[in-house]
Amino acid sequence: MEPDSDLIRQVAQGDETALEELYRRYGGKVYALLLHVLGGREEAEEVLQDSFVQLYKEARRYDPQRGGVSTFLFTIARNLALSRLRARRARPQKVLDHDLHDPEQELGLWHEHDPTDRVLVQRALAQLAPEDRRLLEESFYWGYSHSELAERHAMPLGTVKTRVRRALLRLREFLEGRVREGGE
Amino acid sequence: MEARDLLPDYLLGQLEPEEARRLEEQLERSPELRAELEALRAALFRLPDQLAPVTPPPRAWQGIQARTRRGRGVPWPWVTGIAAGLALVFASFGLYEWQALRALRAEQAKVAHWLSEPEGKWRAIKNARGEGVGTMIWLEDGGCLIVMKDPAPEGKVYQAWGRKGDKPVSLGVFRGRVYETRFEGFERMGVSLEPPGGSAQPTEPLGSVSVS
Repeated sequence: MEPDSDLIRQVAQGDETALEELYRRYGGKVYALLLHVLGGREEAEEVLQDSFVQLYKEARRYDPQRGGVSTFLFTIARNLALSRLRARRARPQKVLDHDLHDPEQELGLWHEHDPTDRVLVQRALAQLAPEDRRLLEESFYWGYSHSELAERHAMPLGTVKTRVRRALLRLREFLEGRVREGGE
Repeated sequence: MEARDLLPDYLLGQLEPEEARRLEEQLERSPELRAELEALRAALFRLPDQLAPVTPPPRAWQGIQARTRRGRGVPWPWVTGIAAGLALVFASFGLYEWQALRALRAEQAKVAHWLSEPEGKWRAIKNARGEGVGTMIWLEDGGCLIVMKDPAPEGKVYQAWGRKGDKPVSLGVFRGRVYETRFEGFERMGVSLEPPGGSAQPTEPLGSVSVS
């Protein structure tokens, strides 16, 4: 399989086939992220398109020293989604329930989907203190500021900052395998 | 607070602009700090991996394709070349042939309209000797425009054909240079020269192009 870094180089030269391959690899993941952040299918689909069009236009800006292609793409998608949330000044009330009767919705059937990554991340997140995890996820997915989180969770601002930082540092340690499950 | 303690907040966009600017200055100077930032970024952007991928509807990719192609646009040398060709054709007819001129203007307007379609695909129609005899333009909505280099010779008409498998299907006859039809359901589209009224099968095929 052609590495992502080769594909993005080809996209930077205007190769639509390489863009399609990246879409095949990551479209389902980006769409899942956008459904999670935005809560509605129509808006998620619009931002999905915006994300890949922006990837196409800005592929030249990709710097491998700043992470993988998926990180670059998720950064674009998250920024666009958070801009939408800011524009409408409201976060989704709840995460969208997928409609199992919708023929366009093939849950978990994305091509060549490898569940290994998902299980790894889920297990790493399960190692975090539940409150730390919630704060990190609300900050990442919905762009809540520290002060908003402090108000939502009735916590001192300093505690929120400490917990969010700790959550990310711990997540990194678990994902890098520096900490075993259940402790140090 | 040390710079590295600020990295998570920086990644999550939680720093004040002035704080972020100062941290960026330190990042410029410190490769270790940059490496730390990238390791944290990699961990943070693994978060979406916990979500089960959801297949987007097929129209999403079609929308992306349409927008990236629109961005590329129609190459202007082609547009100006074809426009110049049409202008030469006008000149050769002479102003006194008012009806013919009007017909040509209608053709020109039609060609210009089709050329301005960002999603349009086109290919030269070549004869058996590899000489271009016209151009085929087609759109994703199934529309197809045939532009021939010259009008049909005296006593003959052009006939458009669609082909799927071995069976040619007549799509109509035309005398002018421009003919609008549809291509959906066919693998190839072609043009032949026929006696007035057309034929059941192509008798003098001029060329065809793949549209699948």
